Order: sequence, then structure tokens, then C-alpha cells
Amino acid sequence: MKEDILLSVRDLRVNFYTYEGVVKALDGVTFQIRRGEAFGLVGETGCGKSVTASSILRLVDKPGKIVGGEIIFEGENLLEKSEEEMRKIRGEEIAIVFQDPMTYLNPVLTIGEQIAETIMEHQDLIKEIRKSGKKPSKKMLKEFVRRKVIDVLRMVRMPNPEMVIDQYPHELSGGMRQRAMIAMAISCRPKLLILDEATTFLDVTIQRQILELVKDLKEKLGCALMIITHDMGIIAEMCDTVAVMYAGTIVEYAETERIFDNPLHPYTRGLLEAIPLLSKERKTLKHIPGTIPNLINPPSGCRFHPRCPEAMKICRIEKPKLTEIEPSHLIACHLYNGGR
Amino acid sequence: MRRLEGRFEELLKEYHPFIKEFRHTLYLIRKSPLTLLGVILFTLFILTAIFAPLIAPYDPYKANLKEAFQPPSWRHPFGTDEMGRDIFSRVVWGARISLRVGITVVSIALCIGTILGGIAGYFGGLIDEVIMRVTDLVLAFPSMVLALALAAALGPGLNNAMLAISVTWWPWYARLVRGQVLSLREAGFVEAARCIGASSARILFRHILPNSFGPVIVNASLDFGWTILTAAALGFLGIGAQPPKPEWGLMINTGRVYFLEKPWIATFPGLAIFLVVLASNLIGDGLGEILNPRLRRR
Amino acid sequence: MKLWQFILRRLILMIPLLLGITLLTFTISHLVPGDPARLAAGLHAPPEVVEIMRRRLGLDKPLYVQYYLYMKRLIRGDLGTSIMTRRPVIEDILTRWPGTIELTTFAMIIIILMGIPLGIISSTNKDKPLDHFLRIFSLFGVSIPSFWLALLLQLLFCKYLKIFPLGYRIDPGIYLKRITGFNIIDSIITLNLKALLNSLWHIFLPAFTLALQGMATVQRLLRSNMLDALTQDYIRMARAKGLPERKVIYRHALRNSLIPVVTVIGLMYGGMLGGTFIIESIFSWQGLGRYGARAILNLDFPAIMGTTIMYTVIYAIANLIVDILYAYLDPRIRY
Repeated sequence: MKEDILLSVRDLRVNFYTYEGVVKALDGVTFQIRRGEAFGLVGETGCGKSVTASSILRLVDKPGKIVGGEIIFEGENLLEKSEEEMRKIRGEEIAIVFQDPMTYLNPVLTIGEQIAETIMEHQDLIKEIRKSGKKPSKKMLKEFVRRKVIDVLRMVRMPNPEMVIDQYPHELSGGMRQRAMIAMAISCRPKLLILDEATTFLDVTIQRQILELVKDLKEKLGCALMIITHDMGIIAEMCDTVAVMYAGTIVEYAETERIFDNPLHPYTRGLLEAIPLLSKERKTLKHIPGTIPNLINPPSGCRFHPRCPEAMKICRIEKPKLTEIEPSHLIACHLYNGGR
Repeated sequence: MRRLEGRFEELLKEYHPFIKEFRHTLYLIRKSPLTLLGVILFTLFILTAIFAPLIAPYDPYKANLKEAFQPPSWRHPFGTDEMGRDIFSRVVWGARISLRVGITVVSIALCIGTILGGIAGYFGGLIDEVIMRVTDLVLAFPSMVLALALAAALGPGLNNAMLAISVTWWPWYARLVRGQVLSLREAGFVEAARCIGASSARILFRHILPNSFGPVIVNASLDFGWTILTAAALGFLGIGAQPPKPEWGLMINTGRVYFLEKPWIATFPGLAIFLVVLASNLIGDGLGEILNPRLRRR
Repeated sequence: MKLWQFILRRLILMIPLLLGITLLTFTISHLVPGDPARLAAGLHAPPEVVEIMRRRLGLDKPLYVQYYLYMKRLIRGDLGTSIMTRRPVIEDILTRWPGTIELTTFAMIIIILMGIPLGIISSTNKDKPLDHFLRIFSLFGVSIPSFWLALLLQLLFCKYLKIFPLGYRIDPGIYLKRITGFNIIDSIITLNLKALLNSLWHIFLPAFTLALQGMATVQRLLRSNMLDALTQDYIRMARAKGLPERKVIYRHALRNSLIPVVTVIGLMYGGMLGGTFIIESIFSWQGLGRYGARAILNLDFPAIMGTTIMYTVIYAIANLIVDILYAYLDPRIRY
């Protein structure tokens, strides 16, 4: 059973030290991802989903800092690794696709150059050429890499890979750019592929295509997925398990079906009720009252209590712990922890 | 009365973010020691220019051949020049000239540039085309070379030099302001002003130009030093201020002949130019950083 | 579009610009106070001679005819006769321009070779002591008046340390066969090592003085561009790909940061051309700047206008080169 776990994040804490004060962006985040599983992380904008992703790669940008917890990947704590060891993991073992392909692609390098540098960084190509019985030369290496890049582009079903390889990001359409980003991410066949709002900026039909592509790639490469989104629809379609995040903490964690069938945390329920459904008749769309709390001065106790319809006295005082109330269904809420 | 008080509160609330921003700006200035140094140097420069008659111990024009070429001493802290004039007094009086040059040139260039750039950006079309081609034409010359040629043609003298520098300087502002206006032209508040029937001139001068002043101010504070430097260079080449004016560049020019033996004659005016230009750069840099919304909160 | 097509188009676009420039210089030369005919004839010439001179110069004709004549003379390369050298201005210019090009090119090399690395070092050591030191150095560099710095350097290096010569392009005792007029190129062609070293020894101080301001500007600009680029999303991506920091900086951040620097280098070349008037005068450098500066002192207008036109043409060519470089560095701009 334990062998199965690819990534395990435990009690992760990240602070941002800003002019206004210390922002506790992540306040004890805990979840696991099994090998080959599709895991979803869902929550409102600004709840700390992307910071979680950056923390896994140890790429939290400056005023931010990881201040506690552990990230166990393949049995080793990433937070204890050296920068050099970490570099080998990024792109090779854990790869990420960001939300806006226009700004995340370097405007002055061709698509081919940007994919090739990942491959050349992580794979010993000279050895591979030797293995095939040829003498490695500079020209040879160049051709070899090019072939590999084209292969990767084919894998993401990029139209015209031979042409796209020499094009610059501004010459591609939004969907093609996102395909290029995915190509970059899978070029070294990572064990974990993180999609950080990877389809948010695309229009619906292209979003569909990209999601299909990701599903196929997951089958082909056998990698685990971590899908970060605010869209419950994507979660329902793609994920095996899901963690619901609110204001820097995980509030509920379970198999996707269970969450949809039997959401326990008031926040999860609110999220699900906010999805517009065509089949069910509902006069007005429900929403969760209030806004995301200020994380410099977060609400005491449970961070959700000011917006929670079922808040009790204890919610204001004590922070609920993430506890397993049914097999593999974890929840952080006093409604259940207090024992019911 | 009650209602008035209520309105006052409301007004305060409305201005609260502004006050907060202003406080934040002051905080940022205090936090950056280099900007503070610039402000101090600049204040000293202005005070020197204003109180020159009180500060200078001697008459800057009065020659005293008996005391020529005195090295720095208690009597003459910066020494004396080839005509026995007190260099300290001349440097102090020179601050007035430099201040005048800086203010005059920057304001002329700023006015011409802002008006032409604003008109070009706001109206577009043929007017824009004509103004921008003229701008390109002036910018096609290396600015210093054009200023030299113009100053020479107008005849030596400080006023002509200032005019020549202004002529080469305005296109930068025209370009800058035009760019700003172009990006503001479609802004919501401009649209709103247009909807309530404000005239073009009103929209341009009341709504657009005041909002495009951030980068212009930064540029102007950097340029203040540049113009002083350029005017001094013209003085040094002999077509700016004419003797016996205590202009810093001119003083360096006269000191240059004796420099290897009597370096103090040119050293102190040079130091003065350096400090003023440094102050202007420090303030410009600081303002640029402070007014840049991307860098503001960190 | 091909590169040569781009250059051709830019060259064609230069024609209206050059026309505009001549219009402006023509206007300036008409601003000149006093009577050019009298100036040309000499201050003490009798009125009849002045009158002949006026007709010969076409000054009695309407302005547009005068402009036409002016253009006709310009195209033939006739820039008038210098009052101080009493030689055709064009000849004066042709003997002097290599000195100026040599000096500014050398200064440009210093700017690029020093400004860019210093900018990178400053940005990668942000807010560390080295960065503070480099920032203060660059602030001094942009604020120091070049004519004052030149004098100070002469005092230090030529009088006290005696490691650099006070002026001139080459020691008068050294024989160098003139082929192109560029000392460094000539000495390389004729394999004259002594002349080469001597020329380099002479050029260093004036070129450094001329370069300092530009160097500091490049350093400052590159630092802020690099810092800006390092916050961009594609840098996050590069790091997420597991690239080493060295590649993140040089491959991803630097190339994007260099694009605006290239534009500024073009502008800076114009600034340096202006600076040659001063630097060449102080270092007794045989070039256009010194010629121009002397012309200004003597109010020798044909020489002043000739120098101005020549400088503007050099500047236009420099900007053309910069544009080509720009298009090469930024794929979003295709020729």
C-alpha cells in the first residue's frame, strides 16, 4: 500500500513576507498522490493552489518562503534536497504546465529550442547515440535532438510539427501554444505532471481537446496527474481523487465520486451548489456569501467560519484538524470532528 | 451642520487612499537612502543658488591680479583663478546660472513637447503624421551636434545656448507624451468625459495630460541634470556662456590651460557640476522606482 | 523578407530623412548673423568684391533657388571652403573622419565589453555589496562631466603615473604608412606591430573617457531589464524545466533584456559623436570633433555645417546597423 504513494505532502506551510505583513498563504496543507492517479486540487482564486504547485517544485518566488512541513516524493523529502538535486527532479520527474502559454513561453526562442533544452538538460543523448552504434558528432546530436523534439510534438498532436519546431511562440495559436507547453513538460516522461489551471485561458472547444490529450498522455506515459483548477467540471471529468482547498488549508479530501455524491464540508457543498446545471431546475444560482479572507489577518479558528452557514462557537476558537471520518475520506470541520 | 460633518467624513474617506498612497511614497523615499541623498544635494544646490550673495565671500567678477593662481587656502577655500578671482565665490554664483539653465531648458522642452505630443496623440491622422515626422527629423541629428551647430549659428551666449538645447530636447517629450496619450485616449474616464460632452481641449488638458505626467516627471528630473551638463559642455567649448560669467563649464575651459600645474581652477567647478547632475539622477531614479506601480509594493 | 531587402528599404527610407536634414542645416546656415558674402569675401574686402561673392554664392536669388543650389553643391560633395584651413571642407572631413570613427568604435567596444557584463553581475547580485558598489559606480559614470573627467584622468595617468600619453593618435616619431586612414587597421595591414601597440596605447584614455557615460547607462539599463525579465513567467518555466541558473540567466533572461539595450546603444552613439567635440579637443585627437570644435570657436560656418552633416550621416548609418541587430535579436520584429 505504501509503495503506491508517489507524492505525499504533509502539513506544508508557506509564508509571504510583504510590506503589509506576513501572508500565511499555506497553513498546513496535507494530501497524497498515488502512482498513476489523477489528483485534483480545487478551490477559489487565491486560495493557495498555485503556491502548492510551486512548493512541490520548490519554486516559491521571493517574498514567499516554505516555512514548514514536508514533501515526500518517491520516499524522499524534497525540502531536504540540495538545489542541484532539485534541479534534476524538475522537468524530469515532476513537470508542470502553467496557465498562460503566452507569457510562460520565451518570446525570443523557437518552440523547438525550448523543448530541446529540456531534453538536453535531462537526458544523456551522447550515450544514446553511442548505444545506437554511431559516433556522436555535433551535427549528429543536433539531428538527434530534432528528431526527439518532433516526436514529442507528435505526441501532443501538434499539427505540422516539422514547421512548428522552427516557429516562435507569437506565431502560434493559443491551443498550439498550450500543446507546446505540454510537449515541453512531457518531453522527459515525468512521473508527475502538474497542470496549473492549464486550460483556464483557452476557449471551450480547445479546452476539451487539451483535456482529451492529457487523458491520453496519462494512459501512454503512465504518469500521475495533479490538476489544479477552480472548475468542478474538470475535476469531475478528469480526477480520481480530489482535495478541496480553502484559504491555504485542505478542507476535504476524498475520491471524486464520494465528494460529488456526499460532500460533507460546508465549503465543498457550497462549491458544488454553485455549479450551474442545465438538467436540474433552479431559479437562482447559489453562491457562497462573503469573500476569501485576508490572509495577513486570517479569521481565528476555522478560516471558513465567517462564511459558513453552520458555524458553531468552537469554529471561532479552534482550528479543525484534517481527520479521516470514513475510509479515505478526510475532512477538516468541527461538525464531524467533534464526533457526531 | 450635522450633515456637513457627515460629508466631511465622507470626503476624508474618499481621500483616504490618496493620503495613504502619499504616506507610502514618503515612506519609500525615506527607505531609499540614495534618493534621500539626492534630495539633500538638490536642496543644497537650490539654497546655494538663492543665497549666493550671502554665501559668496568675494565678488565673483572682481579681478585681483596680485592674487592670481592661489592654491586653496583658508582665505580662498577653492583657490583663485588666472585673474585672481575667488573660485569659491564663482562656483557659488555659478549655481544660479546652472539652476536657470536647468529650469529654462526643461520647461521649454517640456511645454513644446507636451503640447505637440499631446495634440499628435490625441488627434492622430495627418496632424500626428506631420508632428511626428518633424520630431523624427530633429532626432535624426545627434542632439549635441545639432545643439552645437544651432548655438554657433545663433551666436555665442548663454541664452542662445539654452535656446539651442531646448530645440534639440523637446522631441523626446513629444514622443513620450504622445505614447502616454495614445494609451490613455481609450481609457474609461476619457470616454466618460467625452460622453458628458467635454470639448477636445478640455479632455486633452484636463483629463489626459495630467494623467500622463508620471513618466514625464521622471524624465524631467533626469533631464535637469543632463541639460546642465550639456550647457556646461557648450560653455566649455566656448559657445555657451561668455567670459567673465562664472559659468561652471566656462570656468573649466579657462582652467584647462593650466590644469596640469594648477588643477584647482577646473576641479571645483567640475565637482559642482558632478554633484548637481548626480542629485538629479538620484532623484530621477528614485522617482522612477517610486512611481512604478510594478515595483511599488514589495 | 530577406535581410538585404530590409537594408535596401531602410536605405530608401533614408532619402527623405537626408532631404529633411539638409533643409534643416540650410535653415541653420541662414540663421547665421551677419552677411555670409562678406564672411566669404573676407572682413576687409571692398564692397564690389562682396557683391561679386554674393552673386557667386547665389545669395541674391530667392530662397528656394538658393536651396536648390545648396543641394546641387552638396550632391557634388561641395561643402564650401573652410575659413580657418582655407581648404575645401570636404577634403578636411575626408582626412579626419577615420580618426573619429576609430575613437567612437573603440569606445563602443569598451561600452559593450564592460557595460553588459557589469549589468549582468549587478543584477545577479541584487542588493548585495557588489551590486551596491556597481550601482554607485554607474551613478558616478552617468553624472560625471566628460570634459572634467578627461582632465582628471590626464592629471592622474599622464602627469603623475605617466602610463598614458597626453594626446595625439600616435607618437610623431613612429612611421606608419597611410592606407585607410585608420591607424589600427593600417598598422595591422602593414604588419607594423610597433605602430599598432602605440596606437592602442594612445586611444585607450580618450576612448575610455568617451565610453564611461555609455557604459554606465548600459549597465544601469541592463540591470533593471534583467531584474524585470527575471520576474517574468518564462523564467519560472525555465526553472521548472530544471535548467541550471546559468542557463536561466544567459539563455532566457539576458537575450530578452538585451533588446532594449540595443536601441539605447544606437542613441548613445549619437551622444558619443557629440562627446567627440570635447574629448578630441582635450586629447588633441586628429578627428572631426576637434575640427568641429575649432570651427565653432572661429565661427567657421562651412566647416561647422560640413561636420554636422557628416555626423548626421554617420549617426544614420549607426542607427541602421542597430535596427538590423534589433531585428536579429527580437523575432517578433521581422525585417
